[in-house]
Amino acid sequence: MINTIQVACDKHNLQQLRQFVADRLHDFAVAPAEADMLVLAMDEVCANIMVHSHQCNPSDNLELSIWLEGTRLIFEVQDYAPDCYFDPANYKVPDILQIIAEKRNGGMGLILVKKIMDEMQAEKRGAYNVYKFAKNITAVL
Amino acid sequence: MQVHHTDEASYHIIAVVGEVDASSSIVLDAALEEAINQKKQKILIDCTELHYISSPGIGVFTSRLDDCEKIGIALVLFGLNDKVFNVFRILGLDQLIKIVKTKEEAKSVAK
Repeated sequence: MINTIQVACDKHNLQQLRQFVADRLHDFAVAPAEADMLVLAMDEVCANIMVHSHQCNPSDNLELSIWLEGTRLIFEVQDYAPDCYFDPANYKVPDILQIIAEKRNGGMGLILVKKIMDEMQAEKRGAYNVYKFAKNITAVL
Repeated sequence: MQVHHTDEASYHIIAVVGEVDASSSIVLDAALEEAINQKKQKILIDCTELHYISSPGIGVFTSRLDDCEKIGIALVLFGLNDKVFNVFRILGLDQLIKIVKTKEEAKSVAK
């Protein structure tokens, strides 16, 4: 089973990434409602990396891998961005009322990721950023 | 992803078809902006054919909610499937944005 996909940092590739995540979660017999939320979380993570770390430069790539450790799903996203590092674990969740009052159209993606995932961490491996997320699966097909 | 505009009496309906993500949210944003600029007072967002939404799509509404309230525009979403509604619910926006099940309810809420 292929558990890794690599795509260019072009937002039009998000649909392909979502399909990849959905297919793998189906293979892992994750319940559909839970799978929907995990697909969303990975969409948000990858979109953030494409936009904020790579300015949607299609010459840059990111790589997403998914595997199962017991009942724990692991998602790992890697990108080559020597000058960029963001630690989602230190991200302070903004208040949704403040987002509305400030007429912001962003800032909610990582709120979703934090609410959906059980664990998230980031590390530098040389010039690569590695973002790792874990989800304890409670319901399977 | 596509949007379709229709008018039914005093109601302006924007039907959203397909998936709204970071690459396509600009289309929805332009549609809502156009309706607001045309001074439509009752804007209903038909989500019956909306299959997926991520935060950039949600942002289309959060960025305009305050203006709509101040100008007096009624903005109501209807026909969301469970997957789409869950995204609003997780963010707590189901309590802040008018969301109902049917077009008839949406018209009633927007009166």
